[in-house]
Amino acid sequence: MAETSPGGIAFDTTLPASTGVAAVGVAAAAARRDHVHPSAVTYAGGNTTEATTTSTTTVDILTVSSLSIEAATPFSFLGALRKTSGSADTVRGGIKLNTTVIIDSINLDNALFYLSVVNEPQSGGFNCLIPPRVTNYIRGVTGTFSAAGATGTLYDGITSAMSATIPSVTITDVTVNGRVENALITLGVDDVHVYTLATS
Amino acid sequence: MLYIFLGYPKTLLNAGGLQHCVERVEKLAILEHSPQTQYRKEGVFIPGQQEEQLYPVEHRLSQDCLDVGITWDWFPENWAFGNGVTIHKTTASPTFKVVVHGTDLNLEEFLAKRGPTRLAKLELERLHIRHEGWEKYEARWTPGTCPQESHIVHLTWLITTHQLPPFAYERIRDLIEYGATPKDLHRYSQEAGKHFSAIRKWDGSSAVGVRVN
Repeated sequence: MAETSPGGIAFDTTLPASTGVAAVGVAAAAARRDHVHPSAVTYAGGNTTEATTTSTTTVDILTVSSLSIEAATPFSFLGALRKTSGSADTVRGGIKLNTTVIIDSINLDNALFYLSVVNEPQSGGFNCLIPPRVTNYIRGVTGTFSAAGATGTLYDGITSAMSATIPSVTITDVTVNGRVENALITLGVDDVHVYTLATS
Repeated sequence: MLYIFLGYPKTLLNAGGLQHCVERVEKLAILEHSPQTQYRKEGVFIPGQQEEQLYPVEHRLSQDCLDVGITWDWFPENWAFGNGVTIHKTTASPTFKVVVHGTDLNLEEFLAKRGPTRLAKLELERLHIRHEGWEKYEARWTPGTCPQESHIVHLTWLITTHQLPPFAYERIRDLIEYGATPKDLHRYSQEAGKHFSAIRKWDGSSAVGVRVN
């Protein structure tokens, strides 16, 4: 179905994704309105299978992009994690906000999460709360994590030290990074969701 | 060398499974596993507080990545590729606002500004709010390829110690992007989730940015 914009530019409102071509017209706004492109990376209704790694150095595992969280807005995020068997070693996770690594998974006492070294499949979760980032209040990260294996091995802790201060700018990307201590085990992260919190 | 492919492996091999396939079962490549080697957008580094840059990144993006608009520029500054095998997931959701057609005002704002209006004369539309986060994300794509629905991008990358011969590259690409069947399936672990991931469907709901107020 073709509609006509106030400027008289016709554009397709029903099948914009069928052609993958932006409307031709002099009105940039009208052209943008049907700028919707089909591609293999648009997985609406598709596969949301986990993100996994066998990297022994810090790697960006899962990113939530296209955010717009102002510096004065508190926000939180949570996610699910797991490791496979393969070696008596741990896995660790960290946080990157925009392009700044806030918590690097490189050190044991410097992680968003770390799991027991028991050689077994384990799964768990983590959460993190970040208050407003304003002058002189730029290291506020609080979080907890826990995970357990089939044998009942429970491992939990508190997100602690930081690698860098949080940028006092609009947060556009939240990335969970991580690494495994031995490439024979796999770290998986999934279902990371970001929530902004009301201040009034 | 860094090899980047589009999508989650169609075989459902996860990072550990793909590594097992490439290194142990089909012997297609030797992967980089040194804890002293971290690939990043800016180069290859020895990680840690005394980090040191070793050499520039050699990379190859698959044709499928390039076809949908994912080029080297798609990866923002300080992107960490680590080593070994990683199946990365990026989620993005545009923000929309229902406005009166031809304006950027929602119904309440429109009525407050214009006063009483016959409802039959109003036409509402869903307007994409191009906020800072979305503009930064969109700028990562080659022009005209950025998906504007809520979506998930899966990328699979491997870091090898040496450049792959063509037959090995094509076999790995077939396993990841075209769903070729892995050989010797009996050599994969029966442990749930160790080599193969469970497929899950997305209900299409927003993946990010739920505001509580």
